[in-house]
Amino acid sequence: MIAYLARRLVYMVFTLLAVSVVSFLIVQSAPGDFAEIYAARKAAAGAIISQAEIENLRVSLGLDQPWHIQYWRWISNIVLHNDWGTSWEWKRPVGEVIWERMPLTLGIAFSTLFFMYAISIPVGIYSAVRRYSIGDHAVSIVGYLGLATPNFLLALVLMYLTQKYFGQSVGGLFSPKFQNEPWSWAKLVDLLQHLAVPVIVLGMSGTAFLIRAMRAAVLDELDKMYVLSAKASGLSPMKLLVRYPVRMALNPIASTLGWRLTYVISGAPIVGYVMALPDTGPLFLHSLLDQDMLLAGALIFIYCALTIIGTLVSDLLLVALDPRIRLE
Amino acid sequence: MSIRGQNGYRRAPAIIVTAASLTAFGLAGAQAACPTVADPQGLTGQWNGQVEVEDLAAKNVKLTYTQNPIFDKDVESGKLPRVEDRLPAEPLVLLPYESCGVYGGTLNGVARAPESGTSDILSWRQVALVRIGDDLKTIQPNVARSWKWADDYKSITFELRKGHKWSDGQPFTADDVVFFFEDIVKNKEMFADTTTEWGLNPTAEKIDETHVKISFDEPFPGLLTYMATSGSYFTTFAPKHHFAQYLPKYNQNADADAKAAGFENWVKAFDSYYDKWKDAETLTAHALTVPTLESHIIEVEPDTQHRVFKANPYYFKVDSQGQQLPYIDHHYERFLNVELQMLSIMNGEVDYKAQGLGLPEYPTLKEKEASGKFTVRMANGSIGPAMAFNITHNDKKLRSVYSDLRFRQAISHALNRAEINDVIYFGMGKPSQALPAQLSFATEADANYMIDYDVAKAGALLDDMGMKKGADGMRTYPDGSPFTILWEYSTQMATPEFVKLVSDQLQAVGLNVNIKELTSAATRENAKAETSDINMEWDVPYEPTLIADISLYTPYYSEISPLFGVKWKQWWISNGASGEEPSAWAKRMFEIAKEWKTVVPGSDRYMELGRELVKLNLENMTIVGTVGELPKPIIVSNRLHNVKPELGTAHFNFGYSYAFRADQWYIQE
Repeated sequence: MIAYLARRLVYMVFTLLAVSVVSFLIVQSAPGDFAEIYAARKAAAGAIISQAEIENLRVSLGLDQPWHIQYWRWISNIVLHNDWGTSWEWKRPVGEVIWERMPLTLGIAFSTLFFMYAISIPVGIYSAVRRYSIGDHAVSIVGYLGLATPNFLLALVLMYLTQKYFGQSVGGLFSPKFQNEPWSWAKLVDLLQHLAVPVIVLGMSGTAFLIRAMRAAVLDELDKMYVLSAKASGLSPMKLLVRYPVRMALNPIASTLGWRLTYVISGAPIVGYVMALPDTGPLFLHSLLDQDMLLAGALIFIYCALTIIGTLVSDLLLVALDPRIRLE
Repeated sequence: MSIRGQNGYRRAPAIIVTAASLTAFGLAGAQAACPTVADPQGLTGQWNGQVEVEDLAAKNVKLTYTQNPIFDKDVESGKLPRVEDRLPAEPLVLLPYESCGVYGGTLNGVARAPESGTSDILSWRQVALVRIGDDLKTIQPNVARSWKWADDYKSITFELRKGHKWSDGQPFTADDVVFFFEDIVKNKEMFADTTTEWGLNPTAEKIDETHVKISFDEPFPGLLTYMATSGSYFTTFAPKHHFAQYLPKYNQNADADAKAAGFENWVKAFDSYYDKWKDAETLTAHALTVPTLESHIIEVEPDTQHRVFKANPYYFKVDSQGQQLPYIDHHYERFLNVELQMLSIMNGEVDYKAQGLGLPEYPTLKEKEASGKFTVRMANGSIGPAMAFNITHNDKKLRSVYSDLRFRQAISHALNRAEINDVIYFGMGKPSQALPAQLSFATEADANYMIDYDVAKAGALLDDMGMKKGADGMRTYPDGSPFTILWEYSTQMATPEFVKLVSDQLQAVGLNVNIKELTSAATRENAKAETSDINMEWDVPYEPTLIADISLYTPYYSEISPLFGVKWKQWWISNGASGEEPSAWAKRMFEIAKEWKTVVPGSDRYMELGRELVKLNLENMTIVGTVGELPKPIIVSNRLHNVKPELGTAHFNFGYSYAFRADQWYIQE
């Protein structure tokens, strides 16, 4: 087990390094650079920017250097000094900018994961056991709708509804009046109200998918001989269900945890952007559009790291759940 | 034209007070009366909407200063001096537009990100030595009480206010102005290429605590106009008592300190603390320690969602009743993406917004006026897209066509501007030739020059060039080979609808047009390389900007995205050593531009040169215009008071709401 873990961790480091090169190259390959885009933005606002100013900016940011030198400076500072550089757009350290939004990003991601599993596992079991009942059909219809609706559309619709009927402020996780208040009960309630929409939006299609997966897996197990013999030997139906078919059916659910985390993390920027959540989503998109390289690079890096960790966790969970799995 | 340099200190009390108004003012008592712009009650001075202490003295008015109650506690506890000790001995007295306001409230604004929609919000609090009057023409005192030009316009002396203080209570003096020019602008380690916006080689010299002289190698009469308009975002002073500690000249440990704080060297550290864009200076926790003269100072550590500013207890202005300004406690700036900005405006979460709004948003905004509790003001404003054919195209054959005046005139006649105005701008603009907006030296006839829609005339001009129609009805080069215009545009300059509509109109006179959308970075590259057929990035069409930088109205019109004539300009700058010799008219334009920098704005010679430049541009059809006088919507919350009844152009080049005196706005539900 320890050897297995160690091997996996070493692979992870190499994967991350490869990812860092690729992400740096991808951000670099877009036409123009931060200096150019900064000038364009200023010009669009009506300011006059001279070529000399653009060049000054380029030199001071090191953008006049070839990409591998820029990359080396970036990665070596991270590895050697844990220095992620300064965001050009926000003029603050990258670490500080991201950290300001990371807790909420993770909060939303894990609330969504929790929401997905808390709904999909019991509902999936229910619709397997009560196959072709009205409840099963209802769940299936809602599930397919959930699968088919794009995230951002659902976000817009829900946002419109909450704004129109509940008078919630647009975007963000707090109403403006709570933004700078210290934490209080009212502020927490306000936060939870705002959190519900993004969690539902992000979790919707994942939940729908998991319900289908859970239902199919439980159905597979229910017809097996061991279930029949357990039933025949007089085990109570609930005890039987939870102890045998459900445990087996959790196997595919656990093995996809890694994807789920990836899915939530990668879906988050779109939803975050549409709803102006103070998570890393809008920050990520802006940093890409503005070619704020250090910030964009750091975010891609973190997203990938989370994905890789998610995969590792799901593999470990699988080992724990299924004794048949070998580590070799 | 009233943009004029000021000769002589404005000491002579040129106030004429009628006996009746004086009595009215006197009878009402100092505190009760509130002279306003609408009803000055006889309290007037040299400038519109503001008076100085000597104007009050001339009327025997003695103001008793009062303050915002949020400062009461700090004054009681001794943390803050009393209001009369915080104000300068000579505060600037503002006449509010409607009424003397009440203290309190938060002014809410929305932007996309720092330096992306924030100039508008910065202009609520910014101050500079001088200000542009709300007529968008007159230069008026602000931080400076008065100024005096030298006869040759090579130097100017500013008089500051006695007892003026930074937001930390330290005195603001001539040293802070000298520090800006001598230690920041002219610091070669910070700026390898000294920024030229302050004129050639500026030198600042302290005369006494309240007098400072700024000199230049060449006459620079446009200085005040620049400082009051687009230059108002970068103030010509900096708190020496704060920033000196980061410079090796004043602190021998500056470099070591910078390294200890994690910077490469002192330059990088200074660069991170100081920014000429006052907006970019308030982005980090360090901003909390930087003193300012602005009406509001940053209150909490800024983050990626918002910035909060609170009233500056040392702000140097009072209203005509003696209440210290600003009235509004807080400025709240929220960062939202553009789509959500509209939603939050409609939701009534925004009190004022001009930047980033245009005619396309107008119908939606108008519809939501009631529910969003705001009013849409339509300020006269911008001009529509303009197109410049590349007269100096690299391709010889294309150049032979585009450099033919008849071709460009044909294009102007082929445009159905009324249709463009109706389809794209709801008919709210006015068909117009390409002209900088609201020029004092341009006439109605200039705006109408060759804008009549006349397909026959256009056809005749093209026929005359030898560009006959082929078998397919499309025109060819004079030698009979197929001719196509490749129109590369970016959405920053024009909408796809506009480009489609105009190219259909060109097709109608037999000109083949291929449309291609590119990023603005790509169109700029092509423009610089002179390989594009049509260039559209003609910025900055307002007079104050031209006063500061006339090269925007002569080839190549834009340094980062030239319209045409890159090699002409090279030739002119290098005295003929490189580039290509410009046409005679372009040469004349360069000569005008050279002389323009030395003439006093508004003088006879200024008007003459301006007229000649307009004429040269029109007669050579350098830029083909489409629609002008496009109104621009401005959102004003119904709870916001003292907003000028008729707002003028809100644009970067006039410093957004700087001219409309946001420091005397107040909030009352």
